[in-house]
Amino acid sequence: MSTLHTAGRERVALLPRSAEELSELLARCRAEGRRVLAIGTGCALREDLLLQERDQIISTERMRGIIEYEPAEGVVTAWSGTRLSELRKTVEAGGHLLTPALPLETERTLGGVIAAGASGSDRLRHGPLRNHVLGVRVADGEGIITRSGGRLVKNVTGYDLPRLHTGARGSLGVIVEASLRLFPLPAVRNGWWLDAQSGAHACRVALQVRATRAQPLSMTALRLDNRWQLHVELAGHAAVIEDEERILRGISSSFQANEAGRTDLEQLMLRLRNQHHLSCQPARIEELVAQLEADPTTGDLLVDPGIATVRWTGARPVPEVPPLSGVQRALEQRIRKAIDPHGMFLRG
Amino acid sequence: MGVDSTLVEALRRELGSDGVLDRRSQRVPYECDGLAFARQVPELVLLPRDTQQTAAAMRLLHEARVAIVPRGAGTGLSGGATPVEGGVTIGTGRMRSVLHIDALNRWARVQAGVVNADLGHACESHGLFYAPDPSSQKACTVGGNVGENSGGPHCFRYGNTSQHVLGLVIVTPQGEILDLSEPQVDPQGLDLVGLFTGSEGMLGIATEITVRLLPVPEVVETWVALFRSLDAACDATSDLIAARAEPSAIEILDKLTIEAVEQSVLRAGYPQDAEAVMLLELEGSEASVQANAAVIEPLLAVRGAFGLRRARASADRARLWAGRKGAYGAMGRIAPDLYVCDAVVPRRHLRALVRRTTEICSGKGLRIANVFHAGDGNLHPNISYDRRNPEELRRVLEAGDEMMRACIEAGGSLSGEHGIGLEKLSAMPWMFSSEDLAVMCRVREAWDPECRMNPGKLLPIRACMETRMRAPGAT
Repeated sequence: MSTLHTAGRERVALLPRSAEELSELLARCRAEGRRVLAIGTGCALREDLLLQERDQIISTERMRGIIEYEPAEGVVTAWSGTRLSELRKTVEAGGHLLTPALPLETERTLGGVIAAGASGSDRLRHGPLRNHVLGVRVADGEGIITRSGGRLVKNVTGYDLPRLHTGARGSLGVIVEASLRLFPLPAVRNGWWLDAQSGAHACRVALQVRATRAQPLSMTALRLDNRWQLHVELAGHAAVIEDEERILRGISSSFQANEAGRTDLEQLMLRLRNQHHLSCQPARIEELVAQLEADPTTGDLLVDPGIATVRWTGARPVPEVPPLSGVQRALEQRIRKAIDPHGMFLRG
Repeated sequence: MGVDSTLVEALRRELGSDGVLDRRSQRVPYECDGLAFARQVPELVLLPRDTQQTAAAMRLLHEARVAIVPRGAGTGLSGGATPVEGGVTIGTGRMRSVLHIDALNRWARVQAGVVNADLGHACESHGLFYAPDPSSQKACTVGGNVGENSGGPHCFRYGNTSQHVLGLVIVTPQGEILDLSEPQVDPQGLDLVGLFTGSEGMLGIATEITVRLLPVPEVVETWVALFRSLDAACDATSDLIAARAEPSAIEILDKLTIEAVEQSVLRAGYPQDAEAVMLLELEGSEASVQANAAVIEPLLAVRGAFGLRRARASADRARLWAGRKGAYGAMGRIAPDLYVCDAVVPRRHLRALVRRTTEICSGKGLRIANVFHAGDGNLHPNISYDRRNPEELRRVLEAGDEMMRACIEAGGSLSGEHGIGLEKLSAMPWMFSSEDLAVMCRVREAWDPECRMNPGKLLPIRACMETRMRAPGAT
């Protein structure tokens, strides 16, 4: 058992060590009529989550370890409680890059990241996490564990249920294990940054980079202490990096190589991860950022101009997202009922 | 209820008389897809022009409790578009408009019946391209690609169709319109677009598709390397994967395929003295192509590759690819019918599994040609046969089963891009437990409680019956 603070209260979480223990716990919860909140370490829970007294938290954080990693294959399979840091260390030793790149990797678990559908800054090059979850095993409300997908880079056998679980925030069951597609570890990685006059300027430069042959791993614009910076991370063969550095300097002579700025970036990502969040079409990002920075209540800002997402602190609220259509809402309810007929799993 | 004159008249009012094909001579062309030995003439063929017409037709079919089989161009190879007895086929052949290209944000919205290659041509002038490129891309439709989650040679780098679908308009089995067409960074709610892609027409019909477009690379270089054995070509592929080399495609053609191609109108200039041809593509910036080439060339040499040719001119490249993409057609010279098997194996086991599939076919006196997406471990053992010979057809199907079993035993999968359809229905329990299949059945029934959409495909009937016995909510 361990404890978890949620909505200002300390709650007990059960920590199974294996899939079998997890199944037993779920069967017991089902028998006792308890709802279940499945978490990894709980570091990315929704802030508005309200638990009732009888609800049971189950954490997969002790279900850890690599199940299969064959460097000649480019796929890693691990228990859901495996920390991203452990996964990264293992696959990097085999010459692979793990995506997503997220802050707090020592706390984040594989299952938690998949449940949160959390893509990292490296999605600019490698795409969203949901593209890379090749297979999952998931425990349902009766403790029955089922499999979908597999451990292969290409596979269309059966419905793509891994995509349904990715981003479902544990509401469809507990992820027991998962397989991820890996990418070649770049020979060289380096960061570049420039001081920008404004957020709109930073976005404009980033979109100029996007329009060239350069393929950065990530591009992030941030406003910290009223100072705008654009960070561009290059990764690949040395000759490609040299070429891309020339491209950056051609766009702006102010670009400078930098490693130190990374710390600021990670700190800001941490500070902003539960704050306001919005995405749009890339062509609109400059306008959106300009609106936000013009608002005197806006504090820190973190922008991914290539993907067109922005996070910020401050009073300016996130524009209301249109509600799901009636057809979509009804269909989602039927799917949830089909997979979790007793309504056992809470959305974390 | 079923298809009767009242229903036909109601459908004509919605689709117009040219949107409803009821004469047998009109329906026979729809009796099968690329799985030629499975045939059933549909009771009716409907050709709506847009989402609204599709929804109207689906509502009428829902009221009449008629089974529906969606169909793109009918190029699928697993029987996904094989009609069902008493059922209606809804084709997307009149939904061929590219609705919008947003070059700045790099996406396009198309009607489901747009041919894959036509979408590519429509994007060219914007400096963009659509990555999934099935071999049938000159005929297959984007909607069909969504149904099957199709692949193609360049999926080695870019992934199957699902990685490129940003949004869909879906008509549900009840005739409701589910509009998920707006491209979003992440799905709002469950990833229904991701779930629908590759669901083989069993959850509804996609009428509009929003796809991701990519910038055309600065340099594209096609390589042809020759090998003195198929084993060596397979080993070279495994070496490339293990070395984390980054071409965008790694394809292999064996000797029988080379001969068929070179003796056909699709002649690509593949030397016929080679036992295997490897086709690679490198793309990106000049620096990136050169850097990758420096990694790849020595790895090929270690496995005895010879006669390496590198083509950059688009005409030369197109010629080299024409042989690969037209290989199935060229095999028509060998026998009247071709059974294209589709299975995936771990890439480190390529040689062993390619050998095993050859042994299985030889043991049954069948001729096998291999042309496959080696980089993804996606095998396509192709068996030439004559479907008019029932005894030969039996051996073909037995060989197909044995090959699939061998691939699964090696940690592989039943399909990398063709889907399960009718062809591999009975093999699903080899890969999934009854509990695994039951979840899929329940998800299907959440969309289509009566299982009227493409019944009898992908999910074995027994698994679905077990699901009903353990109905959701049952205690």
